Amino acid sequence: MDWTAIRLTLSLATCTTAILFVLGLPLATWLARPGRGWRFVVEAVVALPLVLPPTVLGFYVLCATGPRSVPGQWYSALFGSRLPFTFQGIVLASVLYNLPFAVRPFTAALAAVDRKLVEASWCLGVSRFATFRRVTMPLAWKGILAGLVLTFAHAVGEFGVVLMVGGAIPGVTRTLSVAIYEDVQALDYASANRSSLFLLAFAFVVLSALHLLQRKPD
Amino acid sequence: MFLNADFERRFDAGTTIQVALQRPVASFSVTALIGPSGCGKTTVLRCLAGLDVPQSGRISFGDEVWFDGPRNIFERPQKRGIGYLFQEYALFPHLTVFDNIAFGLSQIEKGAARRRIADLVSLLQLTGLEARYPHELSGGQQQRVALARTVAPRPRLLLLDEPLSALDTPTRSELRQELRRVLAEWSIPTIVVTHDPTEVVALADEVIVLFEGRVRQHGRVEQVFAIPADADVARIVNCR
Repeated sequence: MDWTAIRLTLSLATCTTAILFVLGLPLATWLARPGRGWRFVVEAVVALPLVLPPTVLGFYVLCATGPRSVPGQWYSALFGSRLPFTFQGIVLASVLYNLPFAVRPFTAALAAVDRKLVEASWCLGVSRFATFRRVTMPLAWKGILAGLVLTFAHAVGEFGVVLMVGGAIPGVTRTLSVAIYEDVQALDYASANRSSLFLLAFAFVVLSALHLLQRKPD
Repeated sequence: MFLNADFERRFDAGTTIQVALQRPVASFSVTALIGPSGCGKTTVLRCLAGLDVPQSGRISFGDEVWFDGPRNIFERPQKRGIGYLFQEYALFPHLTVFDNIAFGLSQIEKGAARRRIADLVSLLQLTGLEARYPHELSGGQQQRVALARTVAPRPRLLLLDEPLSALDTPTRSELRQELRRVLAEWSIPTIVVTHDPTEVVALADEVIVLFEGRVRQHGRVEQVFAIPADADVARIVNCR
């Protein structure tokens, strides 16, 4: 078993999930609020990775973070390194690519909380943040957890976008699915089979847990 | 000291609610806001609570300005010191009766909060139900828990949106008398929205009749019921 690739894959999925929890929750809170305006544009941008080939997103991330790009130069000036072909680079790409898998379930869970309960809390003198903590979160946590599980599972299987932005540097950007691709190229079917079985079992366990979580009580 | 409200709330669908009202808030009185469905009663209440924002006008409570369109002033609901009872009660389903009533008391010292909750539980006949969840209560019990939760933080103005409409007829008539008794005991000025003239007679001192988004008549209950200003008002206050 390729333990280096497994460790790297789990690190990538954990970082992606944690970042999307912190950034995705405020975005989902905004999207779940009643109202119209320009919200549909943000919704479309969030959903883009669902229909966009990973290679397209990877290509643009590569162009946007390369040494000749302005963000790339800023990043080099700040941290003294580059984003493409680094772990940080594939985390950025993975966060962008997994945006809908976190934000959409978060938004659905938050929107399902009865608005009247939130308003009742405000009228009892409770601040917006405390209302979120005391009313919205306890009622929406199942959906939010489902979004996190889905994001983690999807990030574990990341391939195209990682290969485009990170290549296949062992211990740095060579995740499990990239390793499988390389094993097959090298005709090492035994190794590819071990890694594939691991991912298959992982996906099955995660999806079973997800459905168990979403099952309604009798 | 008065609650002064003179504002306009326009909806995208074309409806406009235009209301001017003044109520004394230094002493206890119950004002009923009556009108047919869709005439804007709840919108008026929501604008007073700060849950809905008018497009123009002014709302003030004593010398506090809650809303001023031209000066771009809007006071959040948390800062208005009001109690709002929702039509379907909006009890927090994940909290027990005790925790629902205690919800707005987090700023108060624990011992004092407990005493206040115990008083409310006994006054509203909720003894023994403290550990139950909202779905384990009857409609009448839910209404009383919601009322206890609303008054627990001692609001300066109570806004009740159709407080009895979600109940069956026997429970409704039983709670109607009880509601007036507890409101008088708390002595908090109250505005109650209803479409039922029986509730106006049982609960209120003053009545404001709303029709098609405008105030049609305003006065003492017996006066408005005896001499309605026009045929629409007569239909609203007489039909059951």
